[in-house]
Amino acid sequence: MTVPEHLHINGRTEDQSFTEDDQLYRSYTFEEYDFLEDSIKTETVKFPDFSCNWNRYSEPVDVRYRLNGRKTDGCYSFNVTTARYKKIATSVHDPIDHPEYPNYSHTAIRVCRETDPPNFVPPKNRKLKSKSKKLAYRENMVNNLSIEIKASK
Amino acid sequence: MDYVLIDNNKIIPLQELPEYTNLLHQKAGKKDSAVAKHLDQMLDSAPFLDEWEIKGIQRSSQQCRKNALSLAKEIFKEYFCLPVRIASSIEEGIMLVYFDQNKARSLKIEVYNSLEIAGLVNQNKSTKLCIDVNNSSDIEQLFQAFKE
Repeated sequence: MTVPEHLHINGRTEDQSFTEDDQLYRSYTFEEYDFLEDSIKTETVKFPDFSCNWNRYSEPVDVRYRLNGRKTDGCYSFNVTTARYKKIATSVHDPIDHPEYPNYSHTAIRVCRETDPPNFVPPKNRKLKSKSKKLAYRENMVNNLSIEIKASK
Repeated sequence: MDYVLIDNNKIIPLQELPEYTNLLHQKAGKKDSAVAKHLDQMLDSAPFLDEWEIKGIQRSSQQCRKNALSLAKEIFKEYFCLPVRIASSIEEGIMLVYFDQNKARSLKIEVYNSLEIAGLVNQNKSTKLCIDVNNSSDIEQLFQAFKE
């Protein structure tokens, strides 16, 4: 799959000006869909350091343009308010400068702390100790996401 | 001859009571082993997604699987509930999912490779309760929220 031009970096720098209503897109496979609860299975949602694409710079279908991406992949979305649930995480624009799969829209969900100064960009690999807090975060995402493109087998 | 009243208003001779009790135990044992087999099969068929393998996510450890299975069995004994799904988790562990269709309510209990456990109750896309599970009273709390 040829990566569309708008995903190429093209000399652009990071942009951290997220608004609460901005949407974040994430790919999923057919196996990750929960028909019982009509959403994504909680056990397939990783937190933190969860990758997604920012709607300011991409379309839902763009989630397929990644290493190991498939034409059958679906896409779901959630907004930045959901990403900032209980102020334990936030969205961080983190463009990927990959020779085959560049992705300017790439955004990571990272752990933030109360002691972080305003406009601080949390680094990768920050951990959250409490398993229940992590589980609550993942479930909140499942409860508040929307399916943009249905995955197929 | 002495008689004894047993369940369902059945009267049997007192001397037959030990035999009757043994029969009940055998029946209960068979039911428990059928449930255990069913849970084993659910756990064995829990898929681990290819993409997780590529990303270096660890599969659930033997001890984690053992603990998850033993928890599911205990829950069946105590609350007479079977999970609708036993799944591998991207958070490196096993998730037990219980679902009440009438109330649109789910109970999810995740056992991690670290052997920690967390659980939550969700209803109509809203989380009612989410706690770390350290003992049986935490499980009881989750089931109260799930069943009420």
